[in-house]
Amino acid sequence: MEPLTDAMVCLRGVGKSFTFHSRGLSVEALRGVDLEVRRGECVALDGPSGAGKSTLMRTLYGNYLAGAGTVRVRHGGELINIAGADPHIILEVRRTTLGYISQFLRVLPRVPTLDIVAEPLIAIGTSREAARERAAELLEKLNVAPALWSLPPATFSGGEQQRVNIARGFAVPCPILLLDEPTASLDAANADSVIALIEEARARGTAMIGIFHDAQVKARVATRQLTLTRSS
Amino acid sequence: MSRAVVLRASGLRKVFGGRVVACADIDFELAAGEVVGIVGESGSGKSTLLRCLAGLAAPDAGTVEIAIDGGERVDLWQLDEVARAQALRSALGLVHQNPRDGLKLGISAGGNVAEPLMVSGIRHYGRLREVALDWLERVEVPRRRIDDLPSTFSGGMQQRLQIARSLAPGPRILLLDEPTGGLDVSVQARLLDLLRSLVRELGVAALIVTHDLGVARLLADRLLVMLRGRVIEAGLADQVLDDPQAPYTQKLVASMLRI
Ligand SMILES: Nc1ncnc2c1ncn2[C@@H]1O[C@H](COP(=O)(O)OP(=O)(O)O)[C@@H](O)[C@H]1O
Ligand SMILES: Nc1ncnc2c1ncn2[C@@H]1O[C@H](COP(=O)(O)OP(=O)(O)O)[C@@H](O)[C@H]1O
Ligand SMILES: [Mg+2]
Ligand SMILES: [Mg+2]
Repeated sequence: MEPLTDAMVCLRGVGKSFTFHSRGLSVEALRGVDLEVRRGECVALDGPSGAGKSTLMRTLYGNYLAGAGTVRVRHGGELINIAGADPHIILEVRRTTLGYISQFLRVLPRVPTLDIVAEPLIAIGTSREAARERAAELLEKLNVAPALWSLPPATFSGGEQQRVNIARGFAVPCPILLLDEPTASLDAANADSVIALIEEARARGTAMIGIFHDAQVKARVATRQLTLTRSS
Repeated sequence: MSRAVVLRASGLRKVFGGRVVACADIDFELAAGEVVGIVGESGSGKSTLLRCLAGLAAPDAGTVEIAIDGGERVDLWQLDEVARAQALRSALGLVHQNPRDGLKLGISAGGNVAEPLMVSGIRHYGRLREVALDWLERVEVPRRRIDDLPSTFSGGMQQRLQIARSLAPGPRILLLDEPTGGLDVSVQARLLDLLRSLVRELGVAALIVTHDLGVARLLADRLLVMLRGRVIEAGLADQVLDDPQAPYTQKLVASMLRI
């Protein structure tokens, strides 16, 4: 089947197994997954723990190698198959097209919060000044106190780190965004500001795939759902 | 999309004493501006590989091509000694694990930075001193230490000085052999952060050997995994660390807990 002409993401027959050589063991995490996501859609991945939701996201991001099938994303005008793509191409797709907000922030020693958020913009050629301005705007929206902006987030609370992570993930307006439990460690008020950012992105036409542990959050942001079951 | 290749190793092989195969069948490319990490246990041939790339050890087979000024690539080990030294001087910098191997201990900090510039043609004393001061500042060595001997510096500061010395001539390729090896953890963090921002600012392509997978994740775009002289796995850095394929890489990652 050919992908829809306006598909932003097109997965066909995606399979993934993990082989643990030391234990002579293989675990099948995904089998025959098909999914197409268009502009402005937000697909919630559903299914029990261990069903392969995170694995699917990571395979889409090129963080895990697909074992079978094609994982195509629209980059510029073209559909590019992430499965088997050269690392340089994956990196380029990630810079401008494919955003990924993981559950945890990987902190860099000594880098202040404002620069952590501004960095992805600077990497695509935005001026330092404009990047910092956008970073400040996002941190403000996510209620990160300005007093924290000049500090590295290593000592921040889990919720604060997650909001820095989300600000960084939204810095570049990527046309495709992957969200792995973005509101997991946040209270209701802070979750609300994240939801507002997600809704804003969707209104702009961003194609999104997300894992939302909270049923209410899911009901508010998802336009449809894909249910995964344990493959093995 | 395809960035220029600044270094290419093909079929590289180095054998010591007729039996120790330190490097075998090594093929890889380094693109302009990218950071590639090399990981692998001690004795796997990482330093030998860097020495072959940096013109310090002649390979027994294979070629090393590096891009020189005009972007044209030359076959390093086909050049005569003088031409090779000249090509390397402006195109490639090497940072040794031990700063004492990369610095001139008998001359001042400023002299260490200025010397490679003098060799490449800058002669004016005031200008050299200015450039040296600028580099000391970039690597966070206080300007007032310019006339001090490197032996009076701490290990971390010596390493930062070595980095300044290797970057001052403006190479497009930087090779680093376990640059954080002998340093305390807190000093390592500072050095890593500095390396990370310098490499990005200057757009220099870097090949960094490290035994620390955390460092590899932090700095590298791509990773090569070496075992017994061979590259047994290569790929996007986060992919190799999170979804390792080879049995050896899986063991290596598992031994590092969470990174
Ligand atoms: N990096 C990995 N290495 C080995 N096994 C993994 C890895 N990531 C996920 N798995 C396995 O894949 C299966 C699916 O996990 P995951 O994608 O995390 O599920 P979910 O997000 O739906 O809870 C589980 O059996 C899990 O142990
Ligand atoms: N100059 C040399 N003479 C003889 N053997 C050497 C020499 N340099 C390295 N070797 C050997 O080559 C192998 C690879 O060493 P090396 O490149 O230093 O590995 P690594 O840097 O990964 O620890 C080792 O077995 C080492 O003993
Ligand atoms: Mg999960
Ligand atoms: Mg070594």
